[in-house]
Amino acid sequence: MKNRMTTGVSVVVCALLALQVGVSVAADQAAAVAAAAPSEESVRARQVLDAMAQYLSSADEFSVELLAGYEVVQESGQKIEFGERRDVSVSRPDKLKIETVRSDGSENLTLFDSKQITLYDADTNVYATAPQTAGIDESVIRFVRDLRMRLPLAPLVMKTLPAELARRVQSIDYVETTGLYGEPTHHIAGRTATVDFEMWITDGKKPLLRRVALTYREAEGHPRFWADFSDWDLDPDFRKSAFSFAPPSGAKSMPFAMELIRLAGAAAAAKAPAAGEAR
Amino acid sequence: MNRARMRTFSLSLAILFTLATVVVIPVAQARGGGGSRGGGGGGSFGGSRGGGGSIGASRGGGSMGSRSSGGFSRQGAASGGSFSSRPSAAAPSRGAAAPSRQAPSAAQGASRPGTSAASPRQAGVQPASRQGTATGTKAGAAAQPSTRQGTATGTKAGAATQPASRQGTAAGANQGQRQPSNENVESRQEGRTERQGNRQEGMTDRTKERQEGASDRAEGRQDAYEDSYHHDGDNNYYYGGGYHDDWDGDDVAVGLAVGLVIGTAVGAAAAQPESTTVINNTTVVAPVAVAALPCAAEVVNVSGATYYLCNGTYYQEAYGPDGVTYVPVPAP
Repeated sequence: MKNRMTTGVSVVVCALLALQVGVSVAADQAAAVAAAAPSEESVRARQVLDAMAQYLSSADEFSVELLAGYEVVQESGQKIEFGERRDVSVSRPDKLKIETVRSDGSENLTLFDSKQITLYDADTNVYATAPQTAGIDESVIRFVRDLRMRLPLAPLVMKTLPAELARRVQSIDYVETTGLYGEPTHHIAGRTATVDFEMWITDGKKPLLRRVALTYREAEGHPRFWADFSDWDLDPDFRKSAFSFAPPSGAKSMPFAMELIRLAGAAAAAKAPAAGEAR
Repeated sequence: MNRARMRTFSLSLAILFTLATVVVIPVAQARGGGGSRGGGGGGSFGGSRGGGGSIGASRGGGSMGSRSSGGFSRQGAASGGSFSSRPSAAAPSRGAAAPSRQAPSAAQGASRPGTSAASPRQAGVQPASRQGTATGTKAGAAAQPSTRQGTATGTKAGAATQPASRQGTAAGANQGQRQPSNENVESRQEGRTERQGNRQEGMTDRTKERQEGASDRAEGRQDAYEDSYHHDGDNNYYYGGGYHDDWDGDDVAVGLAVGLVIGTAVGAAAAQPESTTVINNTTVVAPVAVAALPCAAEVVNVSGATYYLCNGTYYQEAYGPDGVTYVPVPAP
């Protein structure tokens, strides 16, 4: 009798162990399948993102106002948020104007007028110029990468926005639909290699950004950048002078620092051998 | 008998419970899913309520102190508003004793022509150190602008202060630079052999080779500069040249703490006393812009251009990510 009982318990234990193994394998398989095939929510989020990118990139002209903020981790570890307002005007293929007012009151203008890239700093009444040899997209890249100037959310003004987002976004998910913006708005969240982002995009035929929030997860303190978009106008009536710049009285012209550094560096490189040649 | 049954039954129950626990919890975790709304939020000044959410979506507001006065740095990883950033391997640069809205200071006693000593820019040398993402090596490099700008004959130690990525560039460029040096070494050795027979001819040859080598190196450095300017071999997004990936990586839009080594001919001076060829150690370094001039500069106008002469170095004003800056330039 005792032996029977022991045998029974053993059978039950074995059965349960087998069940556990089976369930684990099934769970692993399910996870693998889930990893291979994007979830419905992920697909939906991707569609929302793509729709916004396509819609914005296909506009010949648009204007929008951004109220943005970003956190800066201070020496103490405390995060301080600074803000700015940006009025953005885009006229494809080659005109862009961004008027910025920072939270400390300083103002500047970034202008691509199809011939020149100009940055005017109203605080110091100086402006820097560089030739503009291409359309907005190439000029944006030159402005940010080569001239090292700041242009938050730069891809949003580019015609290649869909591609710019597609190559960055590694994962994306749908969070929820919210009515907090006065109309149904998709809230999606995704990740690039180094930045976590969230976007709020209006539902419907005009999928426009209402808000963007970026978290720099690789940076200490995980600071965030955010921007609220308002006054979207995809059929703006730009005046002829909208993309022109007349230097104010007394404004001082100077080159972009990176341009000057490049030239000075090249000159130094050319001269260097003479200084250290055979003695 | 009953006792034994009871014991066995209890044992079975215990095993069942244990197994159920082991099986059920992982399955539940594996299923996961669904964004948690727990945690965060509240906008409390007293502290966070914790986080959660399968997509990392926290609704938290975070706590905040009461101080809101100025004097804080406004440069950081997030200030660029980029969709990508370069991973930061080091803590933010925290050298400045009193954080300001400008980049952290590096040099002391710097002054800007026509401005008072109280100018917040005065102490700044690196105008564009985005301290949130600046690496330690970059900060180190930023501390030695004067060394870089004036020295065409840099030292290895100087080069070692360059950020790793720029060292990569330099290393890449150096490969091309070293080749002529090696060739010269070979030529020198051959020259010595030939000198046994015809010393005069050997010297003439060497002189010619040296001159050609110098010319080659000049071109090589120029090319190396242009090459490294256009594509940093290490990170691929440092400068122009058609490489569009990561063009808006945060570090791209980060200031002018450049210190780019643009060509290094690392050669050893010839030890042979009879040799007249010396392979020079030449490290050519791109100029490093400074937020303020390191002295009360003399203003020099040449052909309509304004230069600032300071400690034997000419500077010109230019506009960088953080405003007006000074770039060391060749003498007019």
